[in-house]
Amino acid sequence: MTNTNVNNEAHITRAMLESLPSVEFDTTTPWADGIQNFVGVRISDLFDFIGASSQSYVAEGLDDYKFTITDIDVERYPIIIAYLHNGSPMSVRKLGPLRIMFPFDDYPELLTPKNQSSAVWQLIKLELL
Amino acid sequence: MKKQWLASIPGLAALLCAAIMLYLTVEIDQTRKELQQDGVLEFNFIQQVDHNFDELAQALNNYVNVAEEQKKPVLRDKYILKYDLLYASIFNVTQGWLGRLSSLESAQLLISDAKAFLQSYEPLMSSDVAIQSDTLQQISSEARSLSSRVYSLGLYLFQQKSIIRDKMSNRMDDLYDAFWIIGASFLLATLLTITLLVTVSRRAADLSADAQQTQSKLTTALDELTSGDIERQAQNRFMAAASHDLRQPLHALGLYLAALKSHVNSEQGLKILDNTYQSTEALNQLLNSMLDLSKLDAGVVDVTSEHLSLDEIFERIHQTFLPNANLQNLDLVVKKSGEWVYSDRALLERVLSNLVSNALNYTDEGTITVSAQSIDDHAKIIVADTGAGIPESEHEAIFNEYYQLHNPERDRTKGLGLGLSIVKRLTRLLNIKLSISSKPQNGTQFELLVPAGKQIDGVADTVRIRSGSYPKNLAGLSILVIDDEHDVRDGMDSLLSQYQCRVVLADSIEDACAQIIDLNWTPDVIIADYRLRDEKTGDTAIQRVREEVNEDVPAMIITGDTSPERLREATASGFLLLHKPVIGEELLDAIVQLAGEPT
Repeated sequence: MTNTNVNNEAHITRAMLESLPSVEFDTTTPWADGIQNFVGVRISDLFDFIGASSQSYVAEGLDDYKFTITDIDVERYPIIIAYLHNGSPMSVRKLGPLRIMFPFDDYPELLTPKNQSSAVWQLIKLELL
Repeated sequence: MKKQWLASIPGLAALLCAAIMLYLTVEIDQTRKELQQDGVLEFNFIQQVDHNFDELAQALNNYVNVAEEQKKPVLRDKYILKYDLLYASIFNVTQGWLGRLSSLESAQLLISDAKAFLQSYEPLMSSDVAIQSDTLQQISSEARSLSSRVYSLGLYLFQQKSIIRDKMSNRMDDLYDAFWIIGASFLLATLLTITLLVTVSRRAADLSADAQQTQSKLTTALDELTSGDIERQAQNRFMAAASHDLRQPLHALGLYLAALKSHVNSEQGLKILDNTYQSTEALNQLLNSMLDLSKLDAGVVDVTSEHLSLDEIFERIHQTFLPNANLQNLDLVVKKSGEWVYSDRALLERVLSNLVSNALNYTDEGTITVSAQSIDDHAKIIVADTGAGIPESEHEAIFNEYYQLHNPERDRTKGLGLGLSIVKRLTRLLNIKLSISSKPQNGTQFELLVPAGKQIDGVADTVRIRSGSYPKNLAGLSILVIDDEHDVRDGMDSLLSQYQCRVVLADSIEDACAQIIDLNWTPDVIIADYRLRDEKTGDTAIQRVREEVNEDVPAMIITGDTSPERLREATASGFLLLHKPVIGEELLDAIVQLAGEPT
């Protein structure tokens, strides 16, 4: 990581995220009924923003849930860190404020148990490996 | 063919095994994946919810236990957050979270109880509210009890997983077992197929080789049949057998007749004797013709070519056949040409003699002409007659053995029909091109193309037995005769004793040696029959006698054999060879010649 602001960490604010190019898609998910709309930042764009050299990282949620992600092709697929769900920001109770989301409907091949486990909600930290 | 079908059965079995193995591989893979993935979601859920409950309880306790008022707000925010997290993990639950758990009644109950718990305390979860410690204790204990229920659910899941794991494990074992069994069967089937195919192809190769062998045998047999070799061999065997039996008495007859001559006084008697002699001569000639054919077929005839004057040869033929021609009131004309040829003297003379003799036999009136002319580097010899002619359809057939035109009564004075077949073989041997032009009523013309030769002066006569070329001076010669036939010995004795020779007769090698020792005597000439008693040969006899007297006595072999192998053997022995029946003159000349040679 090249662009840090605190020691060797990049503390991203909501404003920073919203300044980056946003991606929007509709999809169904295994965790709720019906088609939902998500708006967020592509992980690939975020990595570019912070100058990340690695494609492997550990995603951590507010609930202390951790998952290691090693070979998800963020360049090929528009996998996002979503900050809007159906047009509105997400509360913690709504699995926000940030969650990793896959465009499952657009790319059915993404719906794997492994990807399900890596769609971390209540995202608080990405630790690059 | 049958075996190939048989080979296809294990082949199909092998294919089947391969297909089953493929299916099993896929199944094993699937099972392994299932094993790995099994229950991941449910476990995640259980773990997380359990964790969330604990966190809430913990956060609440921290808040209660802290004394300083300043720290309270932070801690309060913290337990509110934990409450929210728990809330999120309970109220957002769907099938996707629960997996297998969603069908469990205890799980459903837990969810609804958890929901009820959260809802009842929701109003207290705000930054404005200050929760009292006993309320907090209550919340805490309820959270803990719910947590333990989550824990038991987890335990249950774990047990299920073990059962499933065992089931999957067994399934994997079964699949692996099946895989190895099928694999072994597959290998066996493949091996069987290959073995069968190899034996089939080997069998096929064997059969093919057999067929080829049979075919080549058939071809050889067919070739033999069509080439006439079989007939010729049969013919040779017949001639060898027949002529040998004929030669002995003929030979004896000739000797007796020669001996008789000096005992006949009356003119009539001499005339009769002469006629008898003519007949035996004719018989001799016939037998000799057969012998010649046999010799030619045996390949024993050597060709020694030299430069020859056709004029000289023609003159000799003229002299030989003029008496015959006169007898038949025919003209025999020989034309001088000055041509020279390069060929074998005796064999060429033989060819011309046969042609002239044939012409004389088959011409009733007119002329037989022998002439020659030069063409390129050859000389063309023409023997023409004014006879009945030969139709074109017979031009080839006349050269066949025993074939005669216009001789239905088989007049033996016209020969056996062998003359032309001998001509055919000899011309082939001498590389002379022979052609015939003839039409019925138009006479016949035989043409020979002989390689041209150079004129040589003072040609020396080759040393051959020639009638009358030596004086018959046998007086005083000692001659040893070895022959197992009584009549032959007797005839020899009668003939030779007339010439004041000392003749010793022996019927075998042992007899000859015994007599030599007894008489203490060395012969001047040895005459031995080729085929003696007990499978002994004449050349062996001569060698033994020579050893006995310790001297290289001049010797000759007389043979009645016509079989090609015997002829080859006899010629190979190196001794002078005469053929039975031997004309008395020929025998006497040979003796004189041998006696005259330096030892």
